[in-house]
Amino acid sequence: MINFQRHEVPLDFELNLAPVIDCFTVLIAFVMISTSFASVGILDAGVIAGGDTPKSDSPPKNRLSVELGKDGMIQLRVIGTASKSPELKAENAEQLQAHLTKLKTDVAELNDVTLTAADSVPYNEIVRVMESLRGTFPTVALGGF
Amino acid sequence: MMRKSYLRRKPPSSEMSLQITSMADVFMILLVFLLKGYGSGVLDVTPVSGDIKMPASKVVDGGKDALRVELSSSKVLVDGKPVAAIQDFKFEEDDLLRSGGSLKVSAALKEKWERSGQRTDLIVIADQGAPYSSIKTVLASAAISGFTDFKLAVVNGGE
Repeated sequence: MINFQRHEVPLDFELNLAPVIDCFTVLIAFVMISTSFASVGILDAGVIAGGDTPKSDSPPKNRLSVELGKDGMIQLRVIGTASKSPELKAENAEQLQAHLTKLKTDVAELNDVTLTAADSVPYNEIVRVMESLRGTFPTVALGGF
Repeated sequence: MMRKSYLRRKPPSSEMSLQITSMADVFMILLVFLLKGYGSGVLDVTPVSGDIKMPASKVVDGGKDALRVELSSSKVLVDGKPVAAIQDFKFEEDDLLRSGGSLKVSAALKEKWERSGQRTDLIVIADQGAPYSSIKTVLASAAISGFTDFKLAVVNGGE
């Protein structure tokens, strides 16, 4: 027998928030993880300028002076008792690293580095060179003041 | 023929039940990441100025709480407050001192130095395109004001 009665479908419904909140939880977790990889760090840098009290009574025996030119050329010069060492030039990071390793081995008591750059050299280039220098010398000071 | 039910159906409840379990998960994850961030101290070095893109470096020391100087292409901020207006990283001629520092920046840093109990550490947050001349001006201003321990803020990573 065919039933012609109309069945009214109730329009009221309950919103289940649990899956929505779970989705937002996963999204927040991924955003937090992605920002943690872009964390900000600190690079220690001294400055050869001002300062009334020197750190030590006697000046360092030898000091390496690194000059960064506006054309990207890097000049290395030893100042001190071993100043007779020839000036070295580096065009890229590999050459710079090779020169640094050789100087560290050949020159006695070479621990201090002063980094100077032309006025127009951008900041990221200076940080890049400092990064290379820090690999061989723990203390890098900025000069040119 | 279908029998009509005379039983009273319970009307739907108008109260919304609060799902605490999922919200507790969200807050726990937020708490863990915030504790991680504040514990390492790197959250303190976020630049206030939105137009600063810091250079990247692989060699990075730990985070430290210190006075911040921000250098963007249009202004210099000390501890989040603008102290000098510049144009394309260039300081005004009448603002430059003979020693190479900036009069406005050094005055602001001197005030901060005295207020902080003569702390000598400083964090420099500069845009990666800033020329070395502008960096020197900021560092010279800080050296004049009594700061001797300089740290450069970089983005962890590098090429």
